Amino acid sequence: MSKKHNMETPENNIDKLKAKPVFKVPEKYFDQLATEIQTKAITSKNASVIRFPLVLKYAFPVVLLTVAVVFWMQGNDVKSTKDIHELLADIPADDIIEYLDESDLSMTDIIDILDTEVVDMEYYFDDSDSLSNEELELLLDDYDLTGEFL
Amino acid sequence: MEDQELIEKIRQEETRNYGFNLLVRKYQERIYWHIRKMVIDHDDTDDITQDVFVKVYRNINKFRADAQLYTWIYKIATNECLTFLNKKKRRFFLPIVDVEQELSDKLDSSSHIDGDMVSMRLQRALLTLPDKQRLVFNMKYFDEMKYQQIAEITGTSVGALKASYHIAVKKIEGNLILD
Repeated sequence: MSKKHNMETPENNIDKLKAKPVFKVPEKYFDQLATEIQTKAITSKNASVIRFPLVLKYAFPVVLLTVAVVFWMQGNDVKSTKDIHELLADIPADDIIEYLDESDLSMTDIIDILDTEVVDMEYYFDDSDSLSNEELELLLDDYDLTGEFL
Repeated sequence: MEDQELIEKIRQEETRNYGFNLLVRKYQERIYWHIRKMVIDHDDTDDITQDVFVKVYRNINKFRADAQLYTWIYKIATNECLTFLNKKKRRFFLPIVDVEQELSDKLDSSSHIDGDMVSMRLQRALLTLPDKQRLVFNMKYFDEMKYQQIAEITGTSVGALKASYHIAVKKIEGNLILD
């Protein structure tokens, strides 16, 4: 009678492993656990907590930060624009003309470079004393300038 | 005391705390060990166990009378375990294998661990399984729960659970042979 070779070992048949629990708890842990849980449950119920939806909880500081950054950036832009005008105003007109004469820039180049969005055209075009067409014609007649401008 | 009686006591204001105390004493050990087998560390288990019962306390009015109380509590505990393990992986940006290593290290270093060599080898082998598969294995192998009950807890079909358990057993057996 041949002996049937048993290929099963505890390692490859987990049901026969008879593994025992490996975990322990501190002494009298379960005696105290119920009391701790009770205290925690009642305390958490009585605590007055303002609950925000999770989205608001994280969205609010982000929105606040974004608004603060936007205000700061706008403040800096206004300040830097004013600085440019102030700086230009401080430079004497003769110095600017002399610089432009000595530079290699042609009239066309200067006009192309001019940033009309930055420069406030009010500083250069004052409409308060502008002449109507009729007034202009009268002036031209008075000073006989028609031939020069028309 | 029967579960229905416990629920009635908790739902009435004058007996709420007394009923809840009885409920905790009835189920605390089973829930503790269920969590402990998943997260390994005693202190983590203690925190999660307490959180589970606090949730039970807050939501007892939502518990449906046609369901089993123990299954419901078990379900909360299971979700808390999985949430805890997922948070652990995300918080430290650890790849899965490192969290497994961390739990395995706790088996060696914790003063609340004491087992023979075979049992320790089994625990280490279990840590190589995905969390959900390990969960199913624990409930079937250690807690000897029926597949139907596990299905109610995990929200998975009985067929899928049987397949999962079968694969888990093969993996562990292979792991133990190689070890």
